[in-house]
Amino acid sequence: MASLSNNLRFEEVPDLIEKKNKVPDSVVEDGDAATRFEAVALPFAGALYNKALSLVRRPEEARDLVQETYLRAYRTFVSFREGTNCKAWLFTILYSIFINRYRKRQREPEMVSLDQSDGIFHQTLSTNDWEADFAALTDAGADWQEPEVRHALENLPESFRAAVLLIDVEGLTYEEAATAMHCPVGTLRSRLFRARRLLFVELHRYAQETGIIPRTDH
Amino acid sequence: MPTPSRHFKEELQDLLDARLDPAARSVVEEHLEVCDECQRELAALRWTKNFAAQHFAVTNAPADLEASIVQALRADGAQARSEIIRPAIWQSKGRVLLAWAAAVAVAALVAGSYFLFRPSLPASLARNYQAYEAQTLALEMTTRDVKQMEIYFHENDVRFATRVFDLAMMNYDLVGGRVQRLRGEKSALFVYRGKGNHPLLCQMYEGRPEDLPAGAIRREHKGIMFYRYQIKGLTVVFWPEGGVMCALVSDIAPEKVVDLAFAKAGPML
Repeated sequence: MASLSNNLRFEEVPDLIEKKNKVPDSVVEDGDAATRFEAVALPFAGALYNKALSLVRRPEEARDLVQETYLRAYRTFVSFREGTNCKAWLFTILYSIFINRYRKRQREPEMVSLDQSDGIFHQTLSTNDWEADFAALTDAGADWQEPEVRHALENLPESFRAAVLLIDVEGLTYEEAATAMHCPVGTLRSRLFRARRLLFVELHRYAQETGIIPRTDH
Repeated sequence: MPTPSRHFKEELQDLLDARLDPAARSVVEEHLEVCDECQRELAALRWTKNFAAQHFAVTNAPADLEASIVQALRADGAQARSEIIRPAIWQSKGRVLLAWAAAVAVAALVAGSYFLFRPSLPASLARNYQAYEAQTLALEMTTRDVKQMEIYFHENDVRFATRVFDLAMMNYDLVGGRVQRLRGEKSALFVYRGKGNHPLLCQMYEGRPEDLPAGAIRREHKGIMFYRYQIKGLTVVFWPEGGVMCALVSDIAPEKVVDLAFAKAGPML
C-alpha cells in the first residue's frame, strides 16, 4: 500500500486567504465613503457572481443578486468594521438576500441523509482498484471538462454547495461561512463534510464515465 | 494491517482544515498510521477540497459587471444624497432665514403634509396591488379586450395614449382597469390574471425615472433602463417610454416580472 502519511501536513491556505481579504485600515480611513466602498468591495464582484450563479443558476438573476448585494452593502457600509473580512461580509449579505427572495421557490433536496452519503462514499473507497483510481484522479494530465464537472457541484443541495464554495473556493473560515449561511458552525461543518463526500462520489463517477479512470474488467 | 475498532469521520475533515488542537491531531494521526480506510477517506477529502478550489473558482463574470455595479451605486448614492441635502440647506442659513424657514416649513406641513409623507412611487403601486387583491380597489371597467381598455382611458381624460399590453401569448388575460390618481394626476391602471390566478398589475403615468427613489436594481435591455424594487414580497418594475413611465407589479418570481417587462417594453405610440 502506498503511504499517504506525507499528505497529512498541516495546510494554512484558508488563513492566508482570510488575511488577504481583510481590509487595510488605511483604505477605510481615506477618501469619501463611495470611493472607499468601491475600493474595498468591488474586487469581490467576480467571486460574488460566482456564488450567486451557483445559487440561482441564471446569469441575469445572478447579476441582479450581486447588484442588490452591493446596494445593500453600500447602505450599511457605516456599520462595516475595519479589519473584518470584507468578502465574508458581502457573502453574508448575498446569502441573506438569496434566502429571503430566491430560496422559497427552489425545489431541490435540502438534506441528504448521512447514512446515504456514507454508504455511497465508502462503496467508492472500498473498491479493489482504489490505488489505481486515486492515481488517475490525481493525474495532472487528466482531462476534466469544466461545464460537465460543474454539474457535480450543481447537483449538490444548495446548502452543501454553498459550504463548498465558501470554504474551499472562497477561503472563508468556518465561522465566517457559518455567519454567511446563518447557521451554527457545527451545522456548517457537517454540511461541508457531507458535501465533500458527495462531490467526491460525483466526480469519481464522472471520471469513470469519461475514461479518466480507466475501466477494468474483473 | 490491523484495523482499529473506531474510525474517524468529521475529525478527518478537521485535520484537513487544520481545526484540531495538537492533542486531538496527534490521536487522529496515530490512527491514520494504521488505518487504511481512514487514509483513503482523508485522501479523498483532500483531493476533493483541492479540486473544488482549482475548478470551481473561475466563472466568466460579465465583463461589464463591475461597471454596472458602480453605475447603480452612484445613481443610488446621488439620489440618497439629494434626499438628505434638503434639510441641510435649512440648517446652514442665518437666524432670520431660519425663522422664515420655520414658518414656511410649518405652512408646508399644514398645507402639504401629503407631499411630505406621501409614499414612494413603488410603494404606491404596491399598495394599489394589495388593495386590488383585498378587493378594496375596484376596476371601473371589466374587459378582456385591450383596445376597449385603451379607448376607456382615452375617453376618461388620461392625458397620454395608453398602450394596454396584449399578454395572451404569455398566458396573462386582461381583466380590466380604472383611472387611478397617482400624485394628483390621472394614471392608467389595468390588471391581468395569469396561471395560478396571480394578478399582474400594470400602471402607466406621466413621469421620469428621476422621480423614482434610490434602491432600484437597474438593468438595461435593448437600450431601455429598467428599475426593479422589492416591496413586501412584491416585485415592481418600472421603465420609461417617452414621457410616460410604465410599471408592472406582481407577487410572482421577480425575474418573471422582469421578463414580462422586457417583452412588452417599447416606444409609446
